[in-house]
Amino acid sequence: MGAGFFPFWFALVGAALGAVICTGAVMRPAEARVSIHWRSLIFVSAAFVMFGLLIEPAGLIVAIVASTILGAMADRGARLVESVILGFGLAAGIWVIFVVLLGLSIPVLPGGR
Amino acid sequence: MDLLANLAGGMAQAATPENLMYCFLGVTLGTFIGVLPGLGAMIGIALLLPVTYYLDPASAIIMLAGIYYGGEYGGSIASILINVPGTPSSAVTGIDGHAMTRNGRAAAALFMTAIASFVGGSVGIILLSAFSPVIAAFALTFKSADYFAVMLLGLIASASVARGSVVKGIVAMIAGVLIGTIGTDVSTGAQRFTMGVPELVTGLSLVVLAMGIFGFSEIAVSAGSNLPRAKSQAIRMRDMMPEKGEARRSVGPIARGASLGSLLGSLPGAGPTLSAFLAYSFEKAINRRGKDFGTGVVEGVVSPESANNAAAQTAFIPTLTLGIPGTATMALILGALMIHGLPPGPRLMTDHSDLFWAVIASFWIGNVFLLILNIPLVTIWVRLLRIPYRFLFPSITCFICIGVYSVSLNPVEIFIVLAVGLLGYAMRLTGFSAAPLLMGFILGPLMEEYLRRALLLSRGDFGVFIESPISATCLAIAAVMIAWPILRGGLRNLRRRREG
Repeated sequence: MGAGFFPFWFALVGAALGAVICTGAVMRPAEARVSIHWRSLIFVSAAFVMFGLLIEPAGLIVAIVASTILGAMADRGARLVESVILGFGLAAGIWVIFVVLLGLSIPVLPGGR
Repeated sequence: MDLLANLAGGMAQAATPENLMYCFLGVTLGTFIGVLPGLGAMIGIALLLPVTYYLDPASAIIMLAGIYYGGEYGGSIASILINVPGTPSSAVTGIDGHAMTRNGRAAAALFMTAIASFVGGSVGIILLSAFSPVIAAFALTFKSADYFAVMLLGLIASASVARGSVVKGIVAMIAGVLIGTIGTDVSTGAQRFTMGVPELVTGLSLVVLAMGIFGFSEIAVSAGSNLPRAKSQAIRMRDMMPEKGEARRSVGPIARGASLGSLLGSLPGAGPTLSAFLAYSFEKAINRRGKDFGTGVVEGVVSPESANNAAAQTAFIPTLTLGIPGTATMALILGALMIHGLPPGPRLMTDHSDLFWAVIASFWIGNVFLLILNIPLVTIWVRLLRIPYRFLFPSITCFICIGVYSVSLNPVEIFIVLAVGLLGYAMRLTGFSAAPLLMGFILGPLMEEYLRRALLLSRGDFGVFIESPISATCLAIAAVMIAWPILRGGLRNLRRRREG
């Protein structure tokens, strides 16, 4: 039994079932429309991207505050001042848990300190 | 007695200040997350998974399990007060529970729910401690072929009971199995589906997958929907006492709910949600006051609540004794065991019996904590229902990001979480449930290993799967599970054609 055996057979069954679903969908076009909530999808995604980009060059505090501001904008009622305060609060809490208590070497301030 | 000695030993280990704290943290967070509609125990466990890397295995499992059964308690609070289930398993509690709230009896409903949950949970724990050693002893006779078959049955069962179509459930499960094969193949060293990305060579981690599929997509979906909020309703202690006769009338439904829930919880795929639904409809059918169900009768509240909490406990039986989780949440707990280097299976009970009994004993402690959290302190949770989501969701987003980053210290993993999360979001929109995917992801690699061993021992002869009675039975049940909905659909079409 080689490395490809297991994934091959599972993928084959999966592809066959996928074909069944596709034919079913084409034969009976669905009346239900898919509704995507673009605002929340975009801002929540942006919060992740921002964190990933900022964590190493700019450190924990900047990354958390920036991604909190973006994440909060997923909700229509977000206010900037509130989000900034929340961001700093979260940064402090996360700093205590992950850096002080768990002792991880996560960059905290810009410049990797 | 052996059982009592084991439990006493477990209690001694679970009652250390440290473990008590983790147990308390777990059930508190579980209730918190359970109370909030749109967030389930899955996301809570996923969020805390990175932190448990720093704990010893017993404390880690105690805490994660606490989130799970704590969520069952918390979920019913939202159900009763605002008729939006905090967790799927408490959806049916809302039928009569919210009716009681409309009748101005929310406090009594919450009180009876807490009591029913506690009784159900306790029954589940008793059965769990009584049956686990027996089942584990039986499972020690399992051969590789049997394991493969039992796992396949578990996966197909989880796919069949998932919301929506069985076919979509199975496709999601297969997708999970395939995602589980990403990385280096353990026995040949070949690279599978890594596409030259160095971060994928070691495979996707459970943390990344769970955070993406449950964390990201749950937030992206919930942040967009306008979830109803609790209206301020004063819950006073003195309103909690049930009316005369209500307590007495609840005894039967609680007992029946607990029995049904315990049985269903231990079966693959069933879990607390199905147990609660079945207990409610069963009680409605046999109870003398069944016709009043839906108007706010206490029997309709206590029977599903006792059932889902019993099921939440007995769900640990297959997970801890066979290493085969019945639901996605249990799969996550199993994954946490594996992160700590504990091999799942019946040997867990023999090789790590102290851990096993400490975890079981912690369930008792956790249920007592929950009783305190849910009766005198229920007003706190009611207030929590009013936290604006614009504070909650960004906070969870940050915890997901830092949690993922803390495990690998590699920012690329954040982008992988995002990619997995977008997949999860697309699955939600198109009606594929995420639970079978997670089950496939965790069980897939184990299944491959057992398949490989079974075929190695039989020298490539697939007959071993039919020769072994255990394996043959499981495969037969799995085949029926797949064939039944197809047959039923065909029969329905036939009948319709004959009538029309």
